[in-house]
Amino acid sequence: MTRVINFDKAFKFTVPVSVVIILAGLVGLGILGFNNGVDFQAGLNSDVAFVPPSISLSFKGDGTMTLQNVTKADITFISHAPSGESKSYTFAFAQYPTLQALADVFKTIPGVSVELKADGAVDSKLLRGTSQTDSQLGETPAILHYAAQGSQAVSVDIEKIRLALKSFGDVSIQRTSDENSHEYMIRLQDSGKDPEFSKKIIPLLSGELGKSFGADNVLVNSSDFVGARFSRTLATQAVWLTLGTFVLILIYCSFRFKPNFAIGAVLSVVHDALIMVAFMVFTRMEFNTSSIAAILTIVGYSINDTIVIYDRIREKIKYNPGAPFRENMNRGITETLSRTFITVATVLLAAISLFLFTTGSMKDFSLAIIVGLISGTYSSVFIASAFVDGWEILESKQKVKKQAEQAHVAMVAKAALVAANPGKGGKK
Amino acid sequence: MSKIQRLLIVLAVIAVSFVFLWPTVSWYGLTSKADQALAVGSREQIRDYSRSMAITDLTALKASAAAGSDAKLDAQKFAVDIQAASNTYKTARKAMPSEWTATSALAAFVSEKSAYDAVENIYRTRVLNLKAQQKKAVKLGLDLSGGMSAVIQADLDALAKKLGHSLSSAEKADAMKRAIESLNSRIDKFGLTEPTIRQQGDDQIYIEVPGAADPENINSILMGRGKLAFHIVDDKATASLATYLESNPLGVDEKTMTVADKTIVPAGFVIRKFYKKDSYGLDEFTGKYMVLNEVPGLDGTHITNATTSSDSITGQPETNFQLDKEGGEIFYKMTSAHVKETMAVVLDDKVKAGATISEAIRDSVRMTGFSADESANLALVLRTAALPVELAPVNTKAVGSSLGEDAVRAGVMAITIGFVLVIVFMLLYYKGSGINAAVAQVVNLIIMIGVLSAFGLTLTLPSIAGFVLTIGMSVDANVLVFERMKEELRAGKGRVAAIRAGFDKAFWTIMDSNITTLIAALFLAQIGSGPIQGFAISLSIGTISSLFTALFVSHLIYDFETDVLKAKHVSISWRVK
Repeated sequence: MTRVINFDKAFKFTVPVSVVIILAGLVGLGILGFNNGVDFQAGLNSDVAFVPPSISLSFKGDGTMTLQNVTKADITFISHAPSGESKSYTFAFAQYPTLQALADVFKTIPGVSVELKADGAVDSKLLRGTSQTDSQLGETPAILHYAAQGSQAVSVDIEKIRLALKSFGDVSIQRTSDENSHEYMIRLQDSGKDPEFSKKIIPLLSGELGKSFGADNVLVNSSDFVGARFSRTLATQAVWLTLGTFVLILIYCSFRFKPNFAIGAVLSVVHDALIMVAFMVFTRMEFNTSSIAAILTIVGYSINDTIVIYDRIREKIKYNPGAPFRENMNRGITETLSRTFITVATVLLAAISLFLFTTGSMKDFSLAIIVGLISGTYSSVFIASAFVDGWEILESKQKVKKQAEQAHVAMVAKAALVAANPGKGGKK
Repeated sequence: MSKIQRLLIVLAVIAVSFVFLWPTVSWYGLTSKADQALAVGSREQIRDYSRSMAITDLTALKASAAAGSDAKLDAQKFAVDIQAASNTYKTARKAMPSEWTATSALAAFVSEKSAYDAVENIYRTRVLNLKAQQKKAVKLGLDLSGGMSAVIQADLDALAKKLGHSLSSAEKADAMKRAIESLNSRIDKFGLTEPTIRQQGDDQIYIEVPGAADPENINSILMGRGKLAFHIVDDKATASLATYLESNPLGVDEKTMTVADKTIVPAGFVIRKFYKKDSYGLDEFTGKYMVLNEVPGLDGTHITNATTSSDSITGQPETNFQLDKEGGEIFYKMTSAHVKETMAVVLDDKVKAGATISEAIRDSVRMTGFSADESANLALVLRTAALPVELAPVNTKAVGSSLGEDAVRAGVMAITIGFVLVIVFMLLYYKGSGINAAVAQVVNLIIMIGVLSAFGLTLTLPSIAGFVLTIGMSVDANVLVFERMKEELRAGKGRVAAIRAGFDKAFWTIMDSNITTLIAALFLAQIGSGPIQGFAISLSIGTISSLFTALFVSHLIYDFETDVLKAKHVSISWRVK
């Protein structure tokens, strides 16, 4: 048999550390609150890029011509001829490396007229779409943009945007990618005073930005409006469902294990949820629906992890009923330790790959998951079992105390002292 | 259960998953972008497409036959026509011509009309099949496909105030139907894709228009009030338009709603399309056009109520509506001047019904000659004007399609790399047994995506995240079994005994831990609507399918190695032999 690690020795450090972190998180939450995302705060979130025009396109002819999309690798048009025939045109940037080359090839599409609005030598990979993606081209030119670099770029920073939007009151602005792509997340709050807010705000926003930075230089990539009613419903729903999850886990575990195991399991999951809350509060990570999803995922993962360890402790107790709980516990945790590490390693690999390849709210989501995974693994080993251990000690103390009261014998009190510290006796 | 039976079960599950997966693979992988654009269009657009394709083809064939050309037909360009002709020869049991020329192809058909129908049918069937395939494929959520969505709140309180009493549940349901009806007629003006519109909860409406990402569109949908009016129909012009369209099926220019032959539509009259409800409750163009007086005979705002009933003697369904006093006067003048003519009910430039005026009517109107469904729909249309419901957006979202495409790419990359990393780790750590885990995870992934397709679920960015994490988590079941086996091997057991003990001892651990995870995942699936749900569903499916792959598939692989490959040892660790 491999050497048994005495995990109980660590409890007197881990429990206070967790308690301190969680309390700090709760205090922080009380003072700072969550950095509520659009899901939990009525208002408008817009993803705006400040990029100058590159090529303007117009279409005159029979049928329709649609700009399907502009990705990082190519641009696609789809035409519907009046005869009903549809045709797609995809131009890969690898094949047409400059804006000039793209403009030239666009001219070959029947009915399309092209005007180059930027330096033709610019790398075509910098091409960006129009504000109305998937737009049908018409006689009024649709403007494609490009992520200009250096002196060609639109002069913009957070302060300038704030100045341009000063009439909107409370505005929060964040740069969403590296400095050179000039993309910003702009959030306007809906104070609820104007009932027409949702209808007016989008054109108003692009209008104001256009006034300050030039209408052709503003590209709204996405927008997300959430009304007050929607966010309230979501928040209450999330809280109730999380509590419901805890109760059901409690019932299932009481049924499969003992009630004290069940409480320990739920405590360790609550611990992970609160650690993640602390993390989100102190890093000022945006709190949105994905954050709730992250917390509940970790609840699912951590409970899994805890149950596996409990299961092994239960097995140890079954085969070794006479031994003190603490001994069986240490043995159980030790025997499952390699499994604990391997499992957390595989999930971490997945979470890290998610973190590396996604952007925006999904990146935040994966970061929260990574923190939760570490906390979940830690709590399964050090928190869930610590609770059961404490419970068992209290129980045996009480048992002994009862006996002591009944017998009124000084000797029994001495025995209780020994029983209360079975760790010493159990050491091998 | 014998090993053969178990193998058959595993193969059957994989096969079924592939069957469900096929439409997704075929739609995203094998369908050209132009075909995709066609298939996502409305049925009306598809019909227009097949009609015009048929006309173009047949005009070319006729011209070539008239010129007496004996040239062989271009097999690619005229593939559809050749197929139509050969089908006709086959059903007529006539000998096929040795070579397809314009003349021999046209000779297959008894009339020009039947040629047209046959060719159009093939074109249409092809696109409709593509559409059916798209419906079965995994759908991409807005965050991946780009587009816009809105949750719209119907202000039922305001309606209750207006009516002066609180709404009964039947009244609420009717108000929601009216609100959807009034949105319905405006929403399909946007974009080339078919919109989704449905009631959500008691008093909300969900709208989704994939592809189009202009958030201002949502406002124009909401701002434009449904405009209902009664117009007098020029029956003669309508009939001559129908005759004209028989020889020129695409005679009406959809943009301007005019025909080239200016003599058909008199001045002061306009062409409008006639719509019926399809089985989904959406407007569907009937193919009929009507020529209406440009100036409405009566505005819909005069309607005070509309109901349906059935005739007390014949039992025929009828629609009744009441007008206010002023409206009654106007209606009386209009109907007395146009007895025996047709009057059209027009909502937002769409003709919803036409009825012959039998006599002069004042403020209480009875319309007959409809089926029960049509009659109920008509009453609903009339009530949208009588009792309009105020609508306000609760939540709108617009995502540029380019953002979506980049997100798909990033998601696929994350899944691939995450999957490969997990598999490589398992191979390095568990050696031969790692292969076992790898196979189990591949099967797991196939089942997960197959189930996702089967339920017609929508794939969103969070559900991709769900996949990646689920793969990481579901390996846990394999790990539990492997670790048990290692212990058994260390204790000196042989291959067969160690494998059996490993699976037996890990069984309840796996069940307990996965059931608790499933509880969390199922609760997660109840939150809100979009993103979390997608994620939770991936997680739930993954948890269940990993039970199957880890306990069933993986065990079978070990047995296969024991029985068929005659393996004596378990390759599971660098230390344990």
